[in-house]
Amino acid sequence: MSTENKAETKQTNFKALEEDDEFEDFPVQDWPNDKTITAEKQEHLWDESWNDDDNEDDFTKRLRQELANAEAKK
Amino acid sequence: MSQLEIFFKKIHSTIRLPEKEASELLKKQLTMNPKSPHLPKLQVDLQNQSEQTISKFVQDQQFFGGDWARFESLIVSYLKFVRNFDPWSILKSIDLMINVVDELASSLNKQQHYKYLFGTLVDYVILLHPLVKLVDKKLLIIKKRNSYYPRLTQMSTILQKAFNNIRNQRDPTGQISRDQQLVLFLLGIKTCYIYFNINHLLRCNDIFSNMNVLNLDAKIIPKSQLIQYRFLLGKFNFIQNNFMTAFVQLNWCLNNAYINNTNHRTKNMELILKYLIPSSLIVGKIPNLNILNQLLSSQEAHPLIELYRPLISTLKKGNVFEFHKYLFDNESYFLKMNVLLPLLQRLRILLFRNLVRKLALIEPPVNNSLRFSSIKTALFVSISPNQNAYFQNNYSYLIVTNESQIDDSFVENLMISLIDQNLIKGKLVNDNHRIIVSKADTFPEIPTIYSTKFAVDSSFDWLDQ
Repeated sequence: MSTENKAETKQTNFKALEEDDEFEDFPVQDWPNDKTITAEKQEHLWDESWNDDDNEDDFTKRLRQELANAEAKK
Repeated sequence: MSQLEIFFKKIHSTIRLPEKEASELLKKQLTMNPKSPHLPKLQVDLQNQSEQTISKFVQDQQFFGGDWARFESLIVSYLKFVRNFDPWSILKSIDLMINVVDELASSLNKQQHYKYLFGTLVDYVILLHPLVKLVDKKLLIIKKRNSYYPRLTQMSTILQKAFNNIRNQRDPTGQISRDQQLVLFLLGIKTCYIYFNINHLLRCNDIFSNMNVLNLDAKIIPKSQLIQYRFLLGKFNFIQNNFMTAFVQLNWCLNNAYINNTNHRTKNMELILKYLIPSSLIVGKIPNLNILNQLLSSQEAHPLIELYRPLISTLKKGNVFEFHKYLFDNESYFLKMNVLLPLLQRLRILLFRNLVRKLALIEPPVNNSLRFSSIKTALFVSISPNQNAYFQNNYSYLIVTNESQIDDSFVENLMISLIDQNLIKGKLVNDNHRIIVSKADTFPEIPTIYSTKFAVDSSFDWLDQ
């Protein structure tokens, strides 16, 4: 798929998200805490690390290669 | 007895009852819902009555001993609506309905009896907002205009008037009563929705500021309303680039969303996550996308979650070109979300932090030293200036315009920025070709650094009581 088509497809898929930002009618007006996300114990939702330790992806391999090339030229 | 006489008699009986009971009954007697059975019968009675006659009929009733002229105006307005209402045409009826709400809003300045109208007010607001929005949007298309919402604008003025009239009332102890608080909260939500509809965003600040000083008790507000209010607050702050406040409010909405109904859960959570995910990145938090997919009860990868997966991946790797390319390829979505520039500008420093960290992993510092030459090589690979043509001269995406600009000055400026923002622990050496980095905790955790960098607006703390 070309870049153009890929972008178009992605834009189409996300179009539905750009409508008026109003909530669907709530099935009940109020609910206790045990009926919420917090009750499902999602404490680690925001704990993801910023550190990328994957050393086998293409970018890391390319970086390693370029650093080695630069070192060899000296 | 005519229908009109029955109508008047019912109102007389109702207003003799205690406030709360009366409010619920008046809501039914003054309903504008076309499904109500008394409307067609009353309409028949009113067909040949002129405005003057209707006004005289109402005046003769002496509701509340003739002491509340605005209430009489409200009843006259209601009867005129009933007389002229066309159940087959919203367009012909909508202005009549708006007039009734306007009269009701004006009636709320009567300290003694205003609470009688609470039920009716809530009923009108819930009924009318979608109808008014529908009419304005349809006419916008028909008249081929870009931004013209006369009836929504009028409704916002009316709701603001109702809000101000109720806000100014106090019970005998000088407090705002529970019912008052609930109505004020609902009015605040609906008014903010309308301000968003008509693109008068800054006016939402009036609502938020007013709410902050009213000393409302968040514990009595139903969660469905708190979620809507805090969502609007989060979205407003998001658009104003106050991302930490946006994150706090939207995260509360997510944490307190109702989880029992799958459809509701998915659509409402999508709405929250649409703004929460980009906010989180900008304030230094990365979401666990697999948990988010589970929360959305998604059997397959949810498109909103998968939109951010590649972005987060390139961000963590410090791959500047791929990060920019991804934003460029999805530019229209991020532009419409008003988040393209914040993502481009605010995540840039984190991209470079992650790149330097990756460099330090591949080529561990010798004698705690990172060489400028290695940093330059890493920048060449990450920024890929030879691929600048991909961005078609859009300077928002270009770090440099040619390779020669990635020189010692560039590296020095970058490293000083990273050190200055506590993203790297180190210092420049005098000869300016090396960075001496700390042996321990060279790259402090971003969430820790950012938690002190971004202040949270404490004026909304009352919502967490």
